[in-house]
Amino acid sequence: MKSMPAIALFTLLMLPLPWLMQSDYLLNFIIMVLFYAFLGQAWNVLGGYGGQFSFGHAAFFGTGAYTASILQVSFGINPWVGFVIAGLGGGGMGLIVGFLSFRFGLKGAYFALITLAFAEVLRILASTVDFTGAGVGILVPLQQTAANFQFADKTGYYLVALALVALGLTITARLENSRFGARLIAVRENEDAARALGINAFETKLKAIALSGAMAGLAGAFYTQYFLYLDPAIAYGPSVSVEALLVPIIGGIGTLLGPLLGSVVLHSISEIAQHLTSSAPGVNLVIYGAIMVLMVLFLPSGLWGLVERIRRKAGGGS
Amino acid sequence: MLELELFIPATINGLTTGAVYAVIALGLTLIYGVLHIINFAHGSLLMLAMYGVFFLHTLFGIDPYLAIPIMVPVMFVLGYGLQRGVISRASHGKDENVLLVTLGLAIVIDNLALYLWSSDTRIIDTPYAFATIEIGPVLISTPKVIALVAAVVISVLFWLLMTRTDLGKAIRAVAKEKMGAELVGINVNHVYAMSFGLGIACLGVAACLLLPTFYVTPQVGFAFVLIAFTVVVLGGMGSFMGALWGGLIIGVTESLGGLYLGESLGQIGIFVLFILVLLFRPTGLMGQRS
Amino acid sequence: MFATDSISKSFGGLQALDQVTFGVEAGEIVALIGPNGAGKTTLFSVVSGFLPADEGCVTFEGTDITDEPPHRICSMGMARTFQLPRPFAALSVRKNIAVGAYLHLAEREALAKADEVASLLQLEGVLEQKAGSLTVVLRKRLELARSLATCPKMLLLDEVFGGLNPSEIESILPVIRQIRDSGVTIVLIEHVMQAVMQLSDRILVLNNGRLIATGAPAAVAADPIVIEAYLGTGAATMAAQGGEHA
Repeated sequence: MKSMPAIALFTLLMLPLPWLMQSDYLLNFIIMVLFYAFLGQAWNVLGGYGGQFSFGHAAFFGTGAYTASILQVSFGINPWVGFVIAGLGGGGMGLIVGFLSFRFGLKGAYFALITLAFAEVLRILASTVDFTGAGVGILVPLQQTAANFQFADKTGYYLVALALVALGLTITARLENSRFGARLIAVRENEDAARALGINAFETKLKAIALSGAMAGLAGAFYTQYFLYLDPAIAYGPSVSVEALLVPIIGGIGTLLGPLLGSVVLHSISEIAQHLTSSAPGVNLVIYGAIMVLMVLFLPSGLWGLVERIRRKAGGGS
Repeated sequence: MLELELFIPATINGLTTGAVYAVIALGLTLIYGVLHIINFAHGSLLMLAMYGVFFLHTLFGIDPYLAIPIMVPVMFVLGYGLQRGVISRASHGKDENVLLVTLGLAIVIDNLALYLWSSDTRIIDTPYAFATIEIGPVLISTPKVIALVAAVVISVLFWLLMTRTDLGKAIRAVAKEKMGAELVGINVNHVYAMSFGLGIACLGVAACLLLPTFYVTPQVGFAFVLIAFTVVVLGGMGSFMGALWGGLIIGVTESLGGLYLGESLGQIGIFVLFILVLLFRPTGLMGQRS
Repeated sequence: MFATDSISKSFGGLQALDQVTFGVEAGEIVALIGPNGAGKTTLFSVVSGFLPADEGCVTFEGTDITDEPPHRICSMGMARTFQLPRPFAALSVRKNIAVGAYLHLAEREALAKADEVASLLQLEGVLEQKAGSLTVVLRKRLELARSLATCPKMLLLDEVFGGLNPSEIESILPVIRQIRDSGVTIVLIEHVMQAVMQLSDRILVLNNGRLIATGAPAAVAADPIVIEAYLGTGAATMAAQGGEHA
């Protein structure tokens, strides 16, 4: 619970950033870092704390994104309301995937595979069905007012992204200190031992995937509002799923600050790489993938694990 | 609905494609059966092999079928090296780490291909690309028949390797009982790497069989890995016969799915099948262990 | 308070449990002994909901728990430990025990309960250590502490004394008695005869899946059927003829 004041402090310190910053480019960079950090935090709930590695988080992200865009474009519902419903949509998809997977006892690689399959099925459906705009996608009409969740000046987006990350930090901190979180970790560490202590493992995992899906859904809705364009490849494609897991794994899986750290480091490297290779396609991900391989080989607890190790050494060992 | 004129060619088409899927899945099955790892990089390595065949043809004029003796050893060495050098060091005792490493490799390979060769579709032109063979009332494209025959030959060779050679016996020993194998003096690390290498060598063959009738882009890796997994899961993780049957079934499913539901929606059939098998029979139709 | 009726379980061709029937009174300490492979842990697994029985039923405090899942059985008051300890490696000892306490208690009370149980089992020194770094002996104590923290009415302990040296055994014995005195019924699988003879009110002997003897410790120890189960056919006669040393 000591984390809460720290999170509040972090948020307050970050708040004035847009007014201190001159560069629009830099602000956009920070917004993207925050966005991916939040997406990573979503994955981290299920993958880091729950120990269930999803390779198809796009299924929840995309559902949120499509929910948000369809509600405003086809039904005229206010995007802020749509934003909340998108979270519910992501959570709902999480429940569906989770119910099927966990009911049938899927774990480890099988669970990863099935989430991948679900994301692909959704992608194919989205590119065939009319009300998602099929392959053409959905274009959200430009109407830049705060009430319409669109901001001409990026500051508004920045504040929402910051709020989401703060939300993610809060949720994660609660996981580390609450009864639910302890039970989730217990299930991750040893499912049978957890069951023998009265924990309903199925229910626990289901709650985790619902929470993770809801957060990913919110991320999807934010994406919709920021880019105002969505298609099946963006919403349900593998690149979102990959980003969602790269960020927390490299930053430090199952830790509070892992996703944020991972996002900052990865996207900073990416920016530098883009400059050096004049935005050649694929460079980013080659670097990300290489980092992940190296990380798993030499630093499985991620960058945050490295930070902890240094802290422990500096503190004289414990 | 079931107009035989459309149904039979589609089915036969599916069988020929399925045969190549079976070859791909054979490699994946070997890797899973022996090392008990799910190789997410399988599709990416296939894609790499396909580019290999493409460049051998475009730059050196080598016919894809004649490229088999080149691709097989190259892919074998690549696989051996990856397992010995990278994957074996990943586990640190946790299975998830191997999962992540193979995923990481897939990401690196897919995007390296994107960076080096762009996302342009590459196809090759061979004199027999449009030749056909008549079998009864049906006309089947020649390369596809070759693919089917080659796949059968490879499977037989594979079977012979597994049952008649010392290496095959060592592999089966390690797959069944690693510690016991070690105790009788088998170098398990070497066997693991050999198995991985063989699994990837299969991709060399598959690439040569695919390229005459198919195309390559950096994205095909992802598409193939899912199909390969569906085949393996359907046929039963660790069962070679299952991989064969699974490949044929998936090939036909894809073909008929495409016929009745259209190109894109047809793909769904495979993934839905995959999900259903994972949920209800993860040991597959013929699998021994889940 | 607890009873099984004709529990049978087979794995393929192997009959692991064969018509096992017994009862346990509230407040008893009952030891379940038998040669390796007799089916003791299998019995625990069936009774605690981890394995389905082929036949028979299990009753706990008047309720049929035969088909209940493990977490429900635990919440009804019957907790079990595992033969090979299964700590939540990434969590601290304190949080490990708290996970057990969370069954009936909310956050703050659960942590307090964890501290309480830890001191009962002399684990205060390692409270903040990660459970993964504990020695085997401490892991066994943690295993017991976790199950105890669920406030059980009945404890199934699987070889809680296994691997301990005599002084370690001596220090845990009074703890077990204390647990019983606080109102918990205990059934323990044990190979360490010293503990079995000193603790149990009654002993059940399992061999090849069948219950071959039950009774007070002294009677069971002298029972020829039991001796033969451990030492082989004819051993009982040899023991009777050979005197003290067999």
